[in-house]
Amino acid sequence: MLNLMWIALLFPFLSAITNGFYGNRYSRQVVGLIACLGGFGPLMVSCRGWWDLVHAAPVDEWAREAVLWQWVPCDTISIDIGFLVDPLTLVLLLLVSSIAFLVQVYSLRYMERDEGFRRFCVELNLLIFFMLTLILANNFLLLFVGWQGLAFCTYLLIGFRRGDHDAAERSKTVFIVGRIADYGFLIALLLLAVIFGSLDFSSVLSAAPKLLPADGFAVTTITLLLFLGAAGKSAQIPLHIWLTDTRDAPLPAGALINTVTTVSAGVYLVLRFNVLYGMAPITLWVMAVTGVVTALYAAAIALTQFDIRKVLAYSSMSQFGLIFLACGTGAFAGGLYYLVIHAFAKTLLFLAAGGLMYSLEGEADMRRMGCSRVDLPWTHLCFVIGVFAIAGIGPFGGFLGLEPILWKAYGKNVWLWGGGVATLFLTVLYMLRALFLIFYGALRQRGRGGQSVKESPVLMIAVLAVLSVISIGVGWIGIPEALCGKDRFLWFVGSVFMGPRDFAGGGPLATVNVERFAGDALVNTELILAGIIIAVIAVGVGMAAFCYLLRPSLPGVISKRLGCLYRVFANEGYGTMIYRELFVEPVHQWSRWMARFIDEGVVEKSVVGMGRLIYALSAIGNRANSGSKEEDDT
Amino acid sequence: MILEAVKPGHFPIVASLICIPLIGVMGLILAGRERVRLMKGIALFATVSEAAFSLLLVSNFDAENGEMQFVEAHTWVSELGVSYQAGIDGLNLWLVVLSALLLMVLVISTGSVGNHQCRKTYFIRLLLLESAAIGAFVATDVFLFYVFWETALIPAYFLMGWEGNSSRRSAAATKCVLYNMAGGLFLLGGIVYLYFYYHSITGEYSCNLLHWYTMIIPGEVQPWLFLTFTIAFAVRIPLFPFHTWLPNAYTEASVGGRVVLGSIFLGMGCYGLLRFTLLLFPQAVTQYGHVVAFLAVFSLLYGGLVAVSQDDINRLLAYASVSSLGFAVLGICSGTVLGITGGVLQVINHGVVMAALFLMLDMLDRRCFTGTVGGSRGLWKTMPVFAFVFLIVCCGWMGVPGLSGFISVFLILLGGFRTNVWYVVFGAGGLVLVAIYGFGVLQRVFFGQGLDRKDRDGEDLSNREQCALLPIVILVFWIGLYPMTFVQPVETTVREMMQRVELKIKSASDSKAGDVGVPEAE
Repeated sequence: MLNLMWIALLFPFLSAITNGFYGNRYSRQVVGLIACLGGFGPLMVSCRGWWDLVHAAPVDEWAREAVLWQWVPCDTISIDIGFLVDPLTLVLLLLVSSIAFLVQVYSLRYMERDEGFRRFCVELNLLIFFMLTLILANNFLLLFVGWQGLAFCTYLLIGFRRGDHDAAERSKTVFIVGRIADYGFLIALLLLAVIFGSLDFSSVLSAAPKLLPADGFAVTTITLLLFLGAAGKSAQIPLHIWLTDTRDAPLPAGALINTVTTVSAGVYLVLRFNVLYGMAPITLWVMAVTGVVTALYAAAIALTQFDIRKVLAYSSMSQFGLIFLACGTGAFAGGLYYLVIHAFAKTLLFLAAGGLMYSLEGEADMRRMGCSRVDLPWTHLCFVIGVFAIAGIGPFGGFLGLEPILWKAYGKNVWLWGGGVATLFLTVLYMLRALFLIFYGALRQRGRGGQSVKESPVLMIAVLAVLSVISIGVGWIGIPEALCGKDRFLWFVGSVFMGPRDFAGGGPLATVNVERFAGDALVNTELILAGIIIAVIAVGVGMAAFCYLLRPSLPGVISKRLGCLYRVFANEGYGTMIYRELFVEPVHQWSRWMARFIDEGVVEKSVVGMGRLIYALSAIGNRANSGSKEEDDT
Repeated sequence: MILEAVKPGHFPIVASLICIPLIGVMGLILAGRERVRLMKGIALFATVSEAAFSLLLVSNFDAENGEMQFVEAHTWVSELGVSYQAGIDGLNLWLVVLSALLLMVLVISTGSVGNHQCRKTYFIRLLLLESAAIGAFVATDVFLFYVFWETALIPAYFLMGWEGNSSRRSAAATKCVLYNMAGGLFLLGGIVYLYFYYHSITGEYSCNLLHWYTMIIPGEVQPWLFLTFTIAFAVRIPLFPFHTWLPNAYTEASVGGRVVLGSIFLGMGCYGLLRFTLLLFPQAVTQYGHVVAFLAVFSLLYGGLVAVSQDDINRLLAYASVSSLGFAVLGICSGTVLGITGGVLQVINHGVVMAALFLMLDMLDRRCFTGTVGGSRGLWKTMPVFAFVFLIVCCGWMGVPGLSGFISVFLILLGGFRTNVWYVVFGAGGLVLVAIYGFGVLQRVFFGQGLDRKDRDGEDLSNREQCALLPIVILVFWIGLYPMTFVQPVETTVREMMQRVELKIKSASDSKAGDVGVPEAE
């Protein structure tokens, strides 16, 4: 089975094709069923693959490759359509397919009334198809197929409501910002192809320590370029402006894009090439700093927004900043672990928000939601679980995932740790703010004859419930050893992140993470740090309760005091405007200038001038000719 | 059995590729002016059989063999050394197939457009141009090549200038022809020089290109000859600064003219560059090739940048052409097997995609689409099939990996790395630009208010149109997912060619050392 994992790709692909071409002949139910198969199939395949891997294969053979056909064989380079299965792939495969399946089931009801239901199903399945391609690819070029396909599907989904011209403009932004990031990726890919003569992961990653000097110019350039690509996909500063545009996508699709597909593709790139990153400390620093800055910045913005979709999108951006911080400190496995935890919790929140919007007929402004806990008990419960999981409150996943990351950050630099803790504090604030604004504020005016707001359909609630259970449970898989756990998750994915066996010194983890402490002192420090984190979370909860429950007028006063600073964040850092002024406008102005001045002015004029010159010469000749003729006549 | 019959030596398949369109032209001339169905039938039959023959050519082509295949030789004017010489190798195989296929697609798709009077002349021009273009692609006799090269201008002129009566139209056509003829003069000058030079060293007159390949041209003349040939080809490709005829030509030509111009006519320029300069002037190419490569990078960035702000879709596509053929030239000038193979593939891709775009924009035109920014219409609701195909074609155009455009650009950039890293770094910027203006086109076509469903103008593709677009969509996927079919023959030929180039440079430097030695001895 491990060699046949690519079968997972067929499900979403065939589902998209069937619905796309023949869907108009089927009823909505059939279309929905076919669409769900696109998520269910990969889920089954990856479960089976996981079973085989854990039970049948010895640990040494956990990486399997299967080649379908030769893709680009030309001269010195040969690239296959081939697939790689290893623990990293499997974790992501399980994650993506399970969440994708749940989202599809959810959207059966959510998108029921939408006239573009079939198109939505097709686009969603394509999105899943490309994400799975990206995860399963065994070489850079095939990965790039998935990479671009994701950008493309994101573009399609954001432009889903095509009548809206603004949405169209914005969806274009996604693709173009994506292209700028891809530019970095492409150059890195070419460099790798030139240096290694191959683009297969196995050959590149195993040859990297021998061919490239660690901390050398080449490896730093390549990893920086790859990171540019990853940052563009994962919406890190300054390539983040496309992320909030995902609110134009139908909400279930927005949930997928913000958790396990487009945004996590960037992280996957870093995780997959951890060997290369491990050899480039400068890049790791850049990554850690970018991550922490993004995390803080996005969390601050999330605190000022009122559109629930924007809050969640910025929250994703902030959390992915933390994941990059983890990767930047060398804690690749920790980053992956947090990615998993975050994915379930954030999908839960997105879908719960979707349920709210479903019940409230599309209202997305948290100030006007004013929901009653009595009317929507289940949605409320799920939302609370999601908030707690993200904010790291209680025994839910968030805390258990964040604790090792922050500890590793502390090992690298205290300031990184401080940034991470500050982000966590802001996270608690904005998540609870959302919760309190929606469910604990003034009740909404009951319109149309005092009908109470109806709870979401059973199917949607069921999906929320499943996600809630997973969100609670997933954190318990990999409790760090310092907290008396077994760290099973690290054990499972460890083989990917330890680097090639012949890489001296125990792999990139060891080279990066300077062991400052030893033995019990190590554990003690970790426990102290964990205590600080718990304290910070507690303070955050208290403050949020004070500001948004007890004194609801207080946030307004504070924001007035902050003045200019608040406005910057409330306007999302003027990101779109800066992008327009710095990039879009100059390109267009240059373009117009070149068209008018160089093309029509210089080049065209000189061509026409040449023609005129010939005419003039001919006229002179003519005159001379006729002149002499006249003389003859006379 | 048919396959056996057309094996090399049995049947003059290359000559028949040149002749079938001419026979079609004869038939059309003889057909009565009013017999529209007959005329359509003749044109369709000619192009379909041409396409079938070209596919036969492919099936009989030996991809492992880098030499000329299906060689046909007949003496024409023996005193002048002019002969009919034709053959197929990896460089021209796909160009021939592309021309044949696109003409078929074009006739299927636009066969019933316009009034009846125009139809006859329209078909005749198309077939004439097909014959001339294929002739230029397959000719290995330089004289023959030149004849076809220049002859192609005449139907191109009429395809552009004759169908409307507006003065702008004929001005654009005149400009295109004069420009290309001026370029052709440079070519002629170079050819004449080489012709006499060949006579001076061997004592006999010959126009056979394969013979010319064997001669070693002195190092000090090579740059000048390289210059003349390059100018001639750069006009047709077109490279900056010789490109200004193209926007006018695209804007004013009818759809048939645009397709033929964009996908076949421009391809001739790249082909010429590949066929002539690399093997005739190897030293000049190694010395000054980077100048052309620089020009290519410049024009691919310049074209892309100018395309961004164009309001008229045809002008935009013209600059897009400049940009994507800039990539092709970059590949050809890289002097590596990877780059040149990618360059050839890029010419094919460009042809396929441009033809598809022009045809589809024309289909929209017939449904009252204005083509400027203001006239955007929403298509997903009313024309889903059209929208889907258009999306695929645009993605191929923008170099989304997995579709046609990406592989060639990837190979070109990879090849370019061996020559100059900066060309690649800047050249890859062209991919960002293509995303920007490509999305401009998508946006114009897709978004905005939907056409009214009751409106007859908003009908989805007819069966005929679907038939016409099917081969293009198949090609876009095929080249993207299984490029081996296309890459392999090209690669074999290119590799052989590069080996010969290396040998030539080596022997030239050896003989040069000898030359230097002689005066010292005196």
